Amino acid sequence: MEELYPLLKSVIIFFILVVFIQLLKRQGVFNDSHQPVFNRLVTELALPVTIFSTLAVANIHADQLLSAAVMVSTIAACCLIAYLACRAMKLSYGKTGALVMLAGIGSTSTMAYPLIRQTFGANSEALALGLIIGEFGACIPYFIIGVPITAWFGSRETNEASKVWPVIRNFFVSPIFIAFILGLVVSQIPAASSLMAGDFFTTFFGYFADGLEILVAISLGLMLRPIDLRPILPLFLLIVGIKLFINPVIALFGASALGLSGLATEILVIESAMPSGAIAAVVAGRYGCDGALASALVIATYIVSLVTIPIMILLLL
Amino acid sequence: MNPIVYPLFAFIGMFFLIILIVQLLKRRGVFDDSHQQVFDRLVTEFALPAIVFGLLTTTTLRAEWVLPVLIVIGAVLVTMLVAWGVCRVFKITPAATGTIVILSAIGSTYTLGGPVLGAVFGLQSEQMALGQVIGSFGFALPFFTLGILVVGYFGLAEKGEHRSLPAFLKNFFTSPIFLAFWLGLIVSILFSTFHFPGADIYRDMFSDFFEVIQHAVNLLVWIAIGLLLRPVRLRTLIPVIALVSTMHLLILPALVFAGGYAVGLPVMQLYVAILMAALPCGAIAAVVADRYGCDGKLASAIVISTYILSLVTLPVFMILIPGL
Repeated sequence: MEELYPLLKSVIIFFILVVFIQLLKRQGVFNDSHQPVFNRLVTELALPVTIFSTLAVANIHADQLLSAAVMVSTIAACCLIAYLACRAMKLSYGKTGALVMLAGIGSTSTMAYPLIRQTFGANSEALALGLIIGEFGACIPYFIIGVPITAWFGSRETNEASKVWPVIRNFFVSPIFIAFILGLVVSQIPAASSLMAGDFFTTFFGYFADGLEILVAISLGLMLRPIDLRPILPLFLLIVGIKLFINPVIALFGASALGLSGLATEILVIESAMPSGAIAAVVAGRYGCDGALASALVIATYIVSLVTIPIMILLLL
Repeated sequence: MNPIVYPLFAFIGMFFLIILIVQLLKRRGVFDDSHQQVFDRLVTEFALPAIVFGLLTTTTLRAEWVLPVLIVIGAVLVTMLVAWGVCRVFKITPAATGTIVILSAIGSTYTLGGPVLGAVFGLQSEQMALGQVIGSFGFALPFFTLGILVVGYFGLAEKGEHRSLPAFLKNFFTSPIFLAFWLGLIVSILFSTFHFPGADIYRDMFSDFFEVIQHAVNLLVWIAIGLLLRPVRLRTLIPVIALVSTMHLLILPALVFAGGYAVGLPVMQLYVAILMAALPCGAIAAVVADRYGCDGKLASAIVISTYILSLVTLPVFMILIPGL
């Protein structure tokens, strides 16, 4: 139970932040027109810098990539299940885009990393493995495949562009993708990678990483609006079922099938059991999907995860 | 090499890099001038109250540190008064006066004080703890009480709004920073003096919450400064920078030294107090000045100029102080 305490703290802190922003919005400090500013600040500044700084100093081994592959497959399976469910329920493109991403993408950076660091230590093998699984198994596939998919659903919803190619082309020149490529390139050049791992750049990038959580909370807080409860209840149950229950079970199954180590299995289950990623809600809003629904579901999965994470960890590990 | 040089250059280098990035994003259309108000409000009505509350409730003021704190408060008040007097003599506009008065007295103690003291003395040192106390009580106390009142007054004067004193004070007493300040002070006294139950739970849970916000403050403040930055006429700027630099980088530390020397302050306490007073003008103070209607673009230019000047003045102080 002690291992779960940092996780519970992270969840509560995130909640308080979002509540603060909502209060400020009600007091008139913020309004709806400010939301795009923070969305863009996340997707065009803080997140690209964080992606670059993580990749630039990463050491990648083949066995770690195998764990990441399990994560990718788990996410893909959950996204597919969510897509089929949305098709069966005849949901709009905007809702489908948001739900597909929320079913697969979890809060790896904001919740899983602090939990792993707190549980296993800052310089532990577990944290390094957690970062590789999180970045290569969730974040990078999400930004390479997930964001264009979100944008495609968004474009179908808004009828602004019916072709996928402009969306994909936009993504390939987006700061997120450029940061990803640059980070990979730098990680393969030892001198540049060492430079990025030095005091100056570690501190410099740290400012953006520190700011990311607040900026995501602000984006989410501003995105939250009153929403009709009737349509959200089945969607909420769908996301909770896929993201918080099916996702960790598939991860455990994949890890067992490939004979991964106990540590890798543990990290995979922890990261898979996280609530839906706040960043997925921000990006959904940014690219024309149902941002309000996505943010409401993120908050809802955060609340439910307080109960489901301990249950899933106790049951599966 | 002087131990202050590397952290100072690194910190100011990062500050300029982020300002540059914000300016580039502004040119790309990610930001425009209307976003300035959003960041001002985000800093003054969300981040700062959280910092103030978090700092006060986790900082313990020991009896032997009251004297250096009082000396710093005295120096801050005298500096504000002198700066206001000079502005009156030169008939400077109310908005610029508010900016000059606040930036002459308030430094980057929160954002730059920690890295500098940590690099010179170590993060767990006695000097670091004293520096935090001087920052919280010596600078933040007058800033979040009198300072807000001053910039609010000059901001209103610039707009030509004549509000009644009770209405003005009511507005001031209900501002988030002020409320957070007194609430933080009360909680701090309850926990540290009266040993109120719940201190451990508070520290365990809420200190992490405030830490998350504190970690993000530098980025938010620097984005706000980057957005504030606009071309200013050199003819206006140079005399103002000369005035504020003299007040903040020379007169304020000299006043702290004089006060400390006069009362026979121990060398360590005098050293830390002077170092805190010699830090460049406060980036947070600049954002607050803009938020309350004072001259924001002048404030950002002053902050950037004093950051550059402090690259010379701070190491010089470090050389001079041990020989005092």
